[in-house]
Amino acid sequence: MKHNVVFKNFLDFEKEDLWLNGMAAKGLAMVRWFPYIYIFERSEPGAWTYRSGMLPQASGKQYLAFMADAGIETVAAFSGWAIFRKATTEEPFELFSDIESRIAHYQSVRKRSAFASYGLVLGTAAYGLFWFMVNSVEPDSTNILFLAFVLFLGLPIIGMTMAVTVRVTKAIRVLEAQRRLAE
Amino acid sequence: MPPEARNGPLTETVYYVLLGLYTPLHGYGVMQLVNAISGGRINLGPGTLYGALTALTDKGWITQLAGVEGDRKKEYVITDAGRRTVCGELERLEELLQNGRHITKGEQR
Repeated sequence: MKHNVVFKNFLDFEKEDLWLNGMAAKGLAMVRWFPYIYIFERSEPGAWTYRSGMLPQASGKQYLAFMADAGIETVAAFSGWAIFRKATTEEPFELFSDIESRIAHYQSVRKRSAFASYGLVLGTAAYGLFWFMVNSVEPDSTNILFLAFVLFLGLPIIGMTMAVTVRVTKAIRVLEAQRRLAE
Repeated sequence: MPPEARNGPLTETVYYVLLGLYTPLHGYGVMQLVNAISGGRINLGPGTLYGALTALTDKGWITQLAGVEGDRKKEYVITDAGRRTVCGELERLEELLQNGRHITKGEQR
């Protein structure tokens, strides 16, 4: 079977879900994933629904086994994350069906993306400091180019992980407001 | 008042998962049963159900059955503590229903 390969990366899992389901609607079903690489197979348009989410920290393997028992295919599982798919039926496929569990999932996503943001900020700042200490005596142009490169790559990624953190925090607030009136 | 009654209202998910486990079932069975007895209104998400099963096991309201060797699907069943919780919740729900019916006097929407 012919495969389509797309090079892409998402930091926001819900944008990734939207994209994957959009591709599936066009008849391209994601079947394999590697970092930055999505591999698709031709299928009936809309035959599959994709959902991704974090694995429970203590029991990721059991969670995946549970999914398999429930007729849900794990397309990718990598570093605490998984992308699932299920043949589209009349019942919409959602991983979470109540406010409580949606909030809990968002909270673990936020923790992870906040942690990534802090790590990246600290890493970039430490590199900058190190650069100034080493180069304050006699800077040369290759070093300046390398610093520019690090900032050019690092700053947008920091911005994006922070944007995810902010978006998820807002989503949690909306759900919490909803929970005040109804379960 | 039994200690379980002080846990406060159960969520709909917890209530229905406990009811679903009066007969031993595996996860997918609980999803199907809850969907059927709620007339299709509740479609438990697998992530939500997994979290509920884990939390209820930790709380001692349900327990995992020792499965047959090689059988991957785990069956769960409600415990006595779980049954007491359901009974406490039923009393609370009765009160809600009675008061609601009494005050609205069976008004139709």
